Amino acid sequence: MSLLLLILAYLALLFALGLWGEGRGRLRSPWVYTLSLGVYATAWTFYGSVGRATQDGVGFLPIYLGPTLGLLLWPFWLKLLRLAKRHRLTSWPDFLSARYGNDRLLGSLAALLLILGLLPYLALQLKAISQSFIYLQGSTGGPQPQPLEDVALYTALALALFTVLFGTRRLDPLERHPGLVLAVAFESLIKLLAFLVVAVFVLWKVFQLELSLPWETERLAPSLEAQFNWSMLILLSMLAFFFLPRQFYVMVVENEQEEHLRQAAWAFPLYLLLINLPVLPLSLAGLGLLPGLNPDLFVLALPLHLGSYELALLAFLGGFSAATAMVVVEALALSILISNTLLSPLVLRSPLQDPGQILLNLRRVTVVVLLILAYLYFRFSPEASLVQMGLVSFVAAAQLAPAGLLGLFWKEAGRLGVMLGMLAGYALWAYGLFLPGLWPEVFPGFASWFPGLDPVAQTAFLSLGANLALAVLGSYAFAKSKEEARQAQVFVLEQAPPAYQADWERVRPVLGRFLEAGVLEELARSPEGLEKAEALLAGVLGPASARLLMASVAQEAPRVEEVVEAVEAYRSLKELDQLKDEFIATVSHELRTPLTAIRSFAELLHMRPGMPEEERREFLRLLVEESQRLSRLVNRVLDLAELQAGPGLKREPLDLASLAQEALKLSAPLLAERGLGVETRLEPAILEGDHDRLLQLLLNLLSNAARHAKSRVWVRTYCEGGKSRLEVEDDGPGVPPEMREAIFESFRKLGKGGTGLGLAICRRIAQAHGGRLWVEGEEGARFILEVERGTDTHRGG
Amino acid sequence: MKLRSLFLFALGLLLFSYPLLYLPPGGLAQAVYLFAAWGLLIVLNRGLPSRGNEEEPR
Amino acid sequence: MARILIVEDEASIRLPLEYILRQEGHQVAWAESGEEGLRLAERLQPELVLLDLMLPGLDGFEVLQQLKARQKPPRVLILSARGREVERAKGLALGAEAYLVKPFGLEEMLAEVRRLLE
Repeated sequence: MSLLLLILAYLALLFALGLWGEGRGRLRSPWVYTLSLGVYATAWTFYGSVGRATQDGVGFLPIYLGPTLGLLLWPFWLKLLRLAKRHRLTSWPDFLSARYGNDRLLGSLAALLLILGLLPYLALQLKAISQSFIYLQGSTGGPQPQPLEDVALYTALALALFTVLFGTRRLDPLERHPGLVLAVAFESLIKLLAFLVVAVFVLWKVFQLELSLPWETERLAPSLEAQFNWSMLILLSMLAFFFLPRQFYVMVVENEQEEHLRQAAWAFPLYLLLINLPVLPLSLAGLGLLPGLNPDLFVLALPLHLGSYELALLAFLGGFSAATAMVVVEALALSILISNTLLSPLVLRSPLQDPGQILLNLRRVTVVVLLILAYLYFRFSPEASLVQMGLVSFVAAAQLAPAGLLGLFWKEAGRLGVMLGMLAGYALWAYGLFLPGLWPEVFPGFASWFPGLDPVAQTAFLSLGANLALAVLGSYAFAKSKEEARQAQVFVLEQAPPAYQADWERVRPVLGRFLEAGVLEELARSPEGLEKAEALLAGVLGPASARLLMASVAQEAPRVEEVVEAVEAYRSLKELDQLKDEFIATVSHELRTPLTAIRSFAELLHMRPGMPEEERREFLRLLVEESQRLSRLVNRVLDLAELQAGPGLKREPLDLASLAQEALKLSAPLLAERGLGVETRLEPAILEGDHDRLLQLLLNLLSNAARHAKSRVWVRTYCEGGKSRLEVEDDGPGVPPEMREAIFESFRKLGKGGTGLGLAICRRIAQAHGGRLWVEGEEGARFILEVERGTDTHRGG
Repeated sequence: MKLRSLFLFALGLLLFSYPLLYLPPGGLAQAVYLFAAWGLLIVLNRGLPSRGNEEEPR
Repeated sequence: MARILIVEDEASIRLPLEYILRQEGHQVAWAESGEEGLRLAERLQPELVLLDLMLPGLDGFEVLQQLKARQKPPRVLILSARGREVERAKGLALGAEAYLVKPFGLEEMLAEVRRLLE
């Protein structure tokens, strides 16, 4: 009876801790995070490892060496944390469906297979609780209790209640549950302490009573088969550690700061090392003192045998905490998985009143159903060791790894490929492990293929190999949709997620009203075409209208034409006002920065008259510098405002070649100061325009080139196809393709220096002449001005 | 940072697999070796605390 | 005296702040981006953070939220080039203790700092 009381008291303590932690949502330290990762070590570790160690010595260790290796790669996993945060991903299937083109089918498939694959693992925990409870009650080897008398059933229900209370209280978009995490971290501490204390006690007794133990254990044979089994298990557990739903949950969803993972990367392996220290001593002691007993029970039996019921209770508590933490977190992770990938699309599509509440209730039901299913699996599956049951689930979870890892780091990975791979992997897993676990007589698995190999290692190798091979081949073989290609960029290159998704065929006619055909074609080919289109439209319509237009186009609303009409009527009135407001807001912000600096430096000099001469001079120098920056800015703003006002542009026949010579002469001191060589090829290129403005444009381009060039600047003028062109090229770092439009916007800077207005002014000048100005070039930047060619005979006013 | 972690990973892979089978006979020797290698990796992965700039004037 | 962290990407604004605060006897650290600021705040546990809102990378409001989400949140004095009421209200609602609009005077800033450190 005291055992039942202990269980109840422990559960009550957990509930209290959960409640307390829930109130203190911010009680997050890297240590709580590290300990919560300890949910990896389950009843399997607590009881099963000792059992396994009796058979093949260090053979229990790969399960913990794998995660250690995986965490050595922590800088790479930071990417997963960032992506999950940005895209609100709550599980690997979530990740997969988002990464592979927002494909529900892939996510649902992964979710279903995970649920099936993880049932044995949940069952394992219940089995461990039941087994240890029965053993402590003293009825060893007796028949299984009736379901209604089975403590495992009640535990399952209590844990379901716990999960429902702390995991499904509200629908949090981030799915964070601080109370639950705190409870899990606490359980990790309990199981570690219990394990260590029991081991110390047993060893102390052994030495005190001078009992003899077989101080030797099985060793790993130096055979190829053993090497294969060993390596496969390390690989398998490395993958499982990152792909089990509960691990994703504690590691990624509950992660608050990236720094925490950095710490956990060494602290968690340390936890694993500590919790594995007692395994071998306990297995040796068990073999020596209790031959013939089920070795999975050594942890409980040894303290009893050595005369301490209290320590046996402590051991029970350790195993119980290991099992309950796992069950709670896994059930929660799976229920989130089920509701997000399988249920929410259905609920959101149905005309129900309060979808949020319904989802929450469905999630609660899911938790209960899952735990009942796990209980049934445990009751009706044949006898198997704890480790064996867990490994079956490891192989299942690892099947997500090819799709997940390729999706994280390989842009070419495609949806059909990874789906095929996953299906093949799961088929092989089912044939090799899952079905043989349920009906060994009917399904022999792969055991007869290579008799020397461990069935788990063998199946893991075959299924993961097939999975990966199909994923890679399939990615090359099948064409990818536009959506997939875009998501690949968003995930692999971590570009900002595009705001729109739309069909170009529908958008094209609408955008055609505002943009040139050539520009449109270019946009249609680019993965962020719609974003760029909005940027361009914003130049035409102003940002708000552009947004409105794009949003209505992209949302597949049938009223596209109406919106266009409305916008066109509206824009002439509203646009100008809005543009002006925005410009003024930006300008005033840009002016405040040098102004703040100037004021501060001046006040500093004023307030501290006795400051050392050296410091005073430095501050004065900075003050002058900031004043110059401010006046530069003011001049530019005035220029731009003047240009925007429109009139006042002269039209006279000019030659770009002679303009270029003039500009080069004026810029010579600047270019010489930077030690830059200039190469020119100036052919006559006539046009009609404003001499001063065009000269200003050229000077701006030259000073820009001087700022970025390494050693050389090229200036060319020529005619091409009825247009006059001028090019200014440098051998600097160049402009990345995604910045090539942005640099012409006001206050967009590519780095420090410059006011951020120069190129905006240049472009205005070009546009005022009916021409274009753009940048290209692979190495270095090449700015090209193109203006309608003038004729010698024509003289405009 | 990434290079360092890849290097540690390769080192870990090596330590955990190859030499294991060629230790002197006895499972305990293997266990002692593994725990030692494990501890070494943890220490290496912890590394040095990151460098700050709190005392540099500008 | 107190540990103060300045998160501001413009060196010309940062420099005088840093100088005068050091003269007042404080320990001063600085960061040029939101991410760096959060990292330093984690390590140095400053009592006060002077925070610019327009930062490269992580937005100032985001930094503010994360600072305030910490176990022992520092006091935060916002230095913003945007004086609009909305921004001020948002900053204060997110838990900032005070809000200065650029260009501010050093005396004004020092007075706020003294008030916040009391």
